[in-house]
Amino acid sequence: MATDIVDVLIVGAGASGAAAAWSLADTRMRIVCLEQGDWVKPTDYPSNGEDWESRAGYGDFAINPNRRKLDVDYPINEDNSPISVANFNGVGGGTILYAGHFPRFHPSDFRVKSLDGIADDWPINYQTLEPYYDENDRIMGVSGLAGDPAYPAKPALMPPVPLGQSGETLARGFNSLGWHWWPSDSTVATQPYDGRDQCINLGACLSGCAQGAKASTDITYWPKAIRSGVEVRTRCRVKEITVHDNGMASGVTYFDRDGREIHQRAEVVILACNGVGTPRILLNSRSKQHPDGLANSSGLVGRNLMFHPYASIQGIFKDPMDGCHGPSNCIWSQEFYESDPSRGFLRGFTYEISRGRGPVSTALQGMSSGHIPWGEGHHQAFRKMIDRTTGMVAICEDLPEAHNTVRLDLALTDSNGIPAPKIDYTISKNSQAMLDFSISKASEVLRAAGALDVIATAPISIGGWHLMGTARMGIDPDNSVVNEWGRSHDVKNLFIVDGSLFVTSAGVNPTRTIQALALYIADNIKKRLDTLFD
Amino acid sequence: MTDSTQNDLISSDGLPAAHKHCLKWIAGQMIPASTDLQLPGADDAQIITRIMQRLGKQLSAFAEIYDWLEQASLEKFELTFSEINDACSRALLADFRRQKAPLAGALMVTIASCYYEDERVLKSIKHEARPPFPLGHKLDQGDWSLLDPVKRRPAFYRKTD
Repeated sequence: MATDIVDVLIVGAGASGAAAAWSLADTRMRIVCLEQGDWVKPTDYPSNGEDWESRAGYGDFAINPNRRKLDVDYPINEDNSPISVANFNGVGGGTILYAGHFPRFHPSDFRVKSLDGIADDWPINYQTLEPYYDENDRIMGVSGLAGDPAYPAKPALMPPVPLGQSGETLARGFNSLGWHWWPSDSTVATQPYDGRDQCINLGACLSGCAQGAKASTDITYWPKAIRSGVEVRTRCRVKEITVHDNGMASGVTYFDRDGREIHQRAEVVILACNGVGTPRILLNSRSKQHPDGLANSSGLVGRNLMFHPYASIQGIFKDPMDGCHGPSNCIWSQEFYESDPSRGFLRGFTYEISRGRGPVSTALQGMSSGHIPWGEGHHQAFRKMIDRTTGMVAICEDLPEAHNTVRLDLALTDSNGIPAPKIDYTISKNSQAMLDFSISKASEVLRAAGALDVIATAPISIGGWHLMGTARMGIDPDNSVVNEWGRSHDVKNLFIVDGSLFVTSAGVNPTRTIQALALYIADNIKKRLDTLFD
Repeated sequence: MTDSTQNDLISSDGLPAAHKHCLKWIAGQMIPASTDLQLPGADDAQIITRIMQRLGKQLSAFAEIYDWLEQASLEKFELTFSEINDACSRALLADFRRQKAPLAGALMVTIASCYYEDERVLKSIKHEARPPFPLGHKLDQGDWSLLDPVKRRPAFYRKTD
């Protein structure tokens, strides 16, 4: 079945697809977005029920698609990776389940090769993205505090999230060591903002915000884009991008909710499926002209996969902390963000204070780490931890390595028969040294703050929240998949706007930068309409 | 085997009685009752019912656990798992946790989540037995004057110009 041609076809309704659609909507072009998942109803979020922790951790809102196993999910072969993928397939994408941590990259993050002699420089810099960061902040709504000495000046649109007992305790720890900390930039609204209500401290940010205080794109960008005429088609799973004889993209083939295979013609195709979904579609788009997949003349589609290896470092305190009350966001520290080779690794990381846990995850963390026994002593040990545990995660910069890949698993397929992605990934020596260092220094902070005991885990095996680098941007077609404004070197009406563009990963959460990039690329498309395919 | 015999062996929830007995025993070993704290164990009837509901379609997967224990018991003690004494049972359970860690971990998730969602247990740790939404929770702002020394710190991000 074929359909009328559209001007712009966006694949994926998550963080980047939403931003690109909203930006392009003012052109009045006919824009369609295909999303394999559904709209999520706020009443469906786990925090509406007493079993919220179970559903969030192990049920229909689990972060790992292999665990979630919803019919809108596709399986991922992760057998050869110590870190599993976290994602969400639905309108809003990963922003449905993200914590709302919203740091920007630093200027140095775009100049890794020049400054540290490793990896590569980006073809753009902080100044290029700065106006798009600002624009994205306005749409998403960012809470925070201006004046962070770890960053160039940037605005804060709402007051920061509360310190609470956890933040205050750890702030004292950082202060006693003379180390940096600052209230986290957050997409959790601390006051009513653009139709969203303010946070009421549900403590369930990681399984969707029933209050609507956390900025997911289903409640920020999409309503605006749809009002401007963009069409979102849900339960539509893209199989491949099709091409004309001249090598230009002609549209996509997708399966609709009834399993019908449909060809949607388009003048421009934009991929917004992030670091696993985007290379999966490109690699599955094989043709006579493109036997190794589309836009892959460099051979780099699916290569240089970067996660952020995470360490979790939690302290057990004598006095009560915040437990599971309050947003996951609190304060962060970038004391060890910029490179210092004397530490035994290059680049750096951010500490993000993670407040606390609910009863179920406290019990499971304690039993898994050996701090809460089975049988005798269980209740006493649990009571030492519940509401008395707080700490941080270290989000470590991952460097691009060609052997870390997303490929197609021809034996494993989704419900439409499309090959599943297969992840091959190892943690580098640099990342491991960084993880070890982060645990050591975090333990110092926790002890300085009064922790009686410290529980450390690295890497967080389920912590593949950030999927980057698998269709990198660059000026040289031999060393990149898209150019410096997101257009494929090989297919001049194909654009990528998601985390797969990243040249390096920085040591911060990527969503704010992904969205700024999407706005930047959409703006370039608008400015170059007359010569877009030249 | 007659219908009446089958009824003796299959519990009302479809799980063979021996399996249900084994599940209950493991739950009680994991989280025992506490007289001091006036707490039920995870082998409490209400909690076991919830565990079996939660296991749902995976209930048959429990057979793998049961079979492992049964086989190990026969090999080690030449008796079925239900015939060995408590000390031997606990030793086999420890072996099971070591040798079948993913399976033991999955069972732990189900048992612990059902236990720590029980109203009686939540009340004993001074947690309200209610969903987070719509009432939410209170959170103190904390002492923002702690930020004063950091505010005095000069910018330290790396310049690229």
